[in-house]
Amino acid sequence: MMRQETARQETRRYELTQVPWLKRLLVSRWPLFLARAITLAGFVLTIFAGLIGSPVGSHNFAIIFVWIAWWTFLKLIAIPFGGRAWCSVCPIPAMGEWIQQGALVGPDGRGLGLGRQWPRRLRNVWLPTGAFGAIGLFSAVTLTQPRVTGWVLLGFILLAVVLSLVFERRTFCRYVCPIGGFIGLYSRLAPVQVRVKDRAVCAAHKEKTCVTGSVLGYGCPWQAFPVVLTQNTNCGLCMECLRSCPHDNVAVSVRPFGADLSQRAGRSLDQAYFGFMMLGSVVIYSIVMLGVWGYLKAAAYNIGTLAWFAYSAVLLAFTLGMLPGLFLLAVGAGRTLAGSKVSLKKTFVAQSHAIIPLGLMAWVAFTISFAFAKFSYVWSVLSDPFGWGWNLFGTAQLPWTPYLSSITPLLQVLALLGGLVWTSIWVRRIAQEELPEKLATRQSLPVMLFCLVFTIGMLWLLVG
Amino acid sequence: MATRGLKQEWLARLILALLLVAAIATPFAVQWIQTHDSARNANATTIELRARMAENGGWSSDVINATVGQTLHLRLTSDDVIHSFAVGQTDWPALDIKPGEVVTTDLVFDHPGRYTFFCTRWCGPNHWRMRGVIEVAAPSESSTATRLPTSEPPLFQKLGLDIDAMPALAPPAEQSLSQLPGLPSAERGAALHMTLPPELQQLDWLRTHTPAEAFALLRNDSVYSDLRDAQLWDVIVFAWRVAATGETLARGANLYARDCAACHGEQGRGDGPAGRDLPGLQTMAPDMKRGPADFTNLHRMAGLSDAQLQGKLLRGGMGTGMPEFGSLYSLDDQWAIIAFVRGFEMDGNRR
Amino acid sequence: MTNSQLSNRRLQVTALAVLVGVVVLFVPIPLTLAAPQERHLRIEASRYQYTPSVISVNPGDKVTIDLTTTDVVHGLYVDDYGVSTTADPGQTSRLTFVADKAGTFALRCFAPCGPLHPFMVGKLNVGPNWLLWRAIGVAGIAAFAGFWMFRK
Repeated sequence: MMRQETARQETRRYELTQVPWLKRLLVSRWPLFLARAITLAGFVLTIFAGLIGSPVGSHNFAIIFVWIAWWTFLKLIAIPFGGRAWCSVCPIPAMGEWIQQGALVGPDGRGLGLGRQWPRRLRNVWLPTGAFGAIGLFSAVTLTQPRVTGWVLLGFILLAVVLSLVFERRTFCRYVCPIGGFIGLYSRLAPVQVRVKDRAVCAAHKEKTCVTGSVLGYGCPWQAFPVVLTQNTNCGLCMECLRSCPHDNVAVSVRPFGADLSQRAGRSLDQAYFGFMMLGSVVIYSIVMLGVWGYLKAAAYNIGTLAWFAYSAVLLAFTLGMLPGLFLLAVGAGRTLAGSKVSLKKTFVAQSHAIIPLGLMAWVAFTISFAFAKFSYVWSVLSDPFGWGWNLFGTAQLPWTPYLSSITPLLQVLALLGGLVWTSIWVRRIAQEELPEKLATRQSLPVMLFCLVFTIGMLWLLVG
Repeated sequence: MATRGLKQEWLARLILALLLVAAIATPFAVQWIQTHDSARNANATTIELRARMAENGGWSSDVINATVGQTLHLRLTSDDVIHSFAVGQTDWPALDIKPGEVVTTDLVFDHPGRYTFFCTRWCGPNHWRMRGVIEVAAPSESSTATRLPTSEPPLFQKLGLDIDAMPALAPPAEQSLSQLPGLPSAERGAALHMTLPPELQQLDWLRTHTPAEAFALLRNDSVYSDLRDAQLWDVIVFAWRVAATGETLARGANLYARDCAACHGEQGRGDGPAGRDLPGLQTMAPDMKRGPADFTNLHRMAGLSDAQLQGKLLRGGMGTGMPEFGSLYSLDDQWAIIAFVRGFEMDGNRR
Repeated sequence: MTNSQLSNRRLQVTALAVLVGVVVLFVPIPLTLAAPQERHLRIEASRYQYTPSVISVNPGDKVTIDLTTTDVVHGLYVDDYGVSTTADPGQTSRLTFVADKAGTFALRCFAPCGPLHPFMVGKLNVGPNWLLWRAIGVAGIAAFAGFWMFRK
């Protein structure tokens, strides 16, 4: 049954790289370089605006472009449709990578860097999970104070450069960056992938230049092994393997959404926990930031006060304790109902990956809450990025107007319901990996109940 | 291949360098152009003034220097909430300063002297502290520009009135007030069609005497012996009300809403949101009610003359929390506010 | 059941569920509600919420809101209706509108009132929140359909 499915999935992929001009575009180093140069310049401007621009968030390029424009683009377009596509143009590792490689557009530079290996114990996403939790603790201040956003972004890029000088390749992106953590997690759902065409060709190729690099391309900066790559999680769509493969054996294809969920390799407890950190965070943020209770927002903002410690404790306990705990109960109940012999841990990890679509759609719905309502700030901030009284494009005085407010609730409902249905399908499919159909249904029931309760909770918070 | 690669590499580096330099240099370049553009004539001094809540630092400059006849070009912006910029003792309208936006204005002073600038949109409990000074110097020794007309000493000083005194009403007045069913009404007083005694028709007398003294005057006058105490009070408040023109009252209403209502309350009861933590007269007399003055308290207002009220307005506090407004208000402003405030002790200000 | 019969049946159940879901989500419910009345509400704005934070009226009501503030200048903007007003401390400002659109709408502060200003929000309920109940209904239907599909 499973092999049939895989074959069916294989045939439902359309290879983009078979289109000659597309292939040339992807192989050429210029498009990605130009994109990165622009995002890096924009990033520098953003840091500037944050550090020396107006302290008023709604009139500061840093706040509006990072937390509204870029965040909306990331959550609604880049991740659902492109997976780790943002990572290929992200400015934060760009500088470090260019120094590492010693060149901007060529694989033949002599770079700087110690090239150390990242410690084995940290080769997971536990660090990014913690980093995302830390962001949550300080998010009320970061999202509203341009200075803080400026310093955080500056800190990030400096950290990335330092890590690039000490460790090999994209260590920062894979093992430290919290944004990268959830982009990687949700990129399993994206309809785009980079995979080898025919493994037999790779088996016959001794040098494996996709890993070691050649005169044509660097070895995979993401420390992935393109030969056996089956998941989008750690593929940064940088196209190096496309360039370095001498047998033209790597293809960029489009495929149905969610295809990677059926891949068993790459499921791990740390990834599962990041999923819960995301799921839990979206609930807490919906309550604190989008809710009507001012004292909760004050608690999240006034760092160092007793109220803030309470908020922090609740956030961490909920995302790292309560939510995974409830899920464990659901999985355990399902296991008992189905009489499954598979270990609890294995079932828990596997099922935790089934709820990835639930998380993505919950974040999509959450983003929709403010994305369209606040988007009009973009026009005025383009004309006056620093809040210094400029009017570069004549739009500085455009008043704030919320967009699409009449259909926003409906969009959120559709996103959340879509997530519920999507995840429920996968909960069952993944259960079927180990159990016959009827028992798989039984195991799935409590988990689907968990998803239903979660969805109703999010519906009430966002649309209620 | 290597040469081509090298050429491409250097092109890439050039592009990157240009973009980064643009990102860094453009803000400063544009800002330079903007600030030099907006100073329209060479004769203008440009000052950037940042408005912040008092808790965040208040005005970025407390003292601004200017010269008579020279344009003072101000670039105003706010770092937190809505503020506004107004200059006391002038007719210039207040200018709203919205957070994150820059608003510019050109000021030209005709008289040397010290002007006070202040915020007129209530921006927090310490809003009244948002004040600064513009020192306007005469352009030269032989200048014919006359100094700001120094205001005469206010009435309370001329008359030697103690504005901090706790008014004690004469027993007849006190008693009559205690028996009033509600606040007196100027409308009812007008409807009585009584001719006012000459004193109550003179602005000078009204300003320097208390309503309680007016009560004693009327009570001892045989012309009014037919009237009950309550009706006498109606006539008294009518006399005060009629002394103020509609324009004066409107001006007073605007100033009151802008500067006083936040503490003294929209209905003058001393229950405004910004006044909640202020000690008020309790600093002077522990048995007094805490907080800003209640203008509907007839027992108190009847024992205060307009001159005393003016004194409190001009000098402010002594620890009560009442700011001084002497540097902000012209004489017309002061009498307008007092006329309006008097309306609270009668039905006059009820909406 | 053969494989093809099974997948046929599943397709049928899915199609039925989707149809029912669409109906539940979109079809207007003709319900006679309470007669429209005039409502006079006081809302106090502070940093950073409205008190009361949720106000409920019936569709068709003529709503008058007296907005006061306890600390700095705040605004009140009603999503979708697009009506708004601003209040300074010590001054009550009045907003009047007819609640002809049913649903749940956000009340937003649009006068920058401090750092947490972007998160200052309240809620206006005009009539029951049909969208929420419909959505929950569809979620339940989806769950039931899923269960039904696989119960054999």
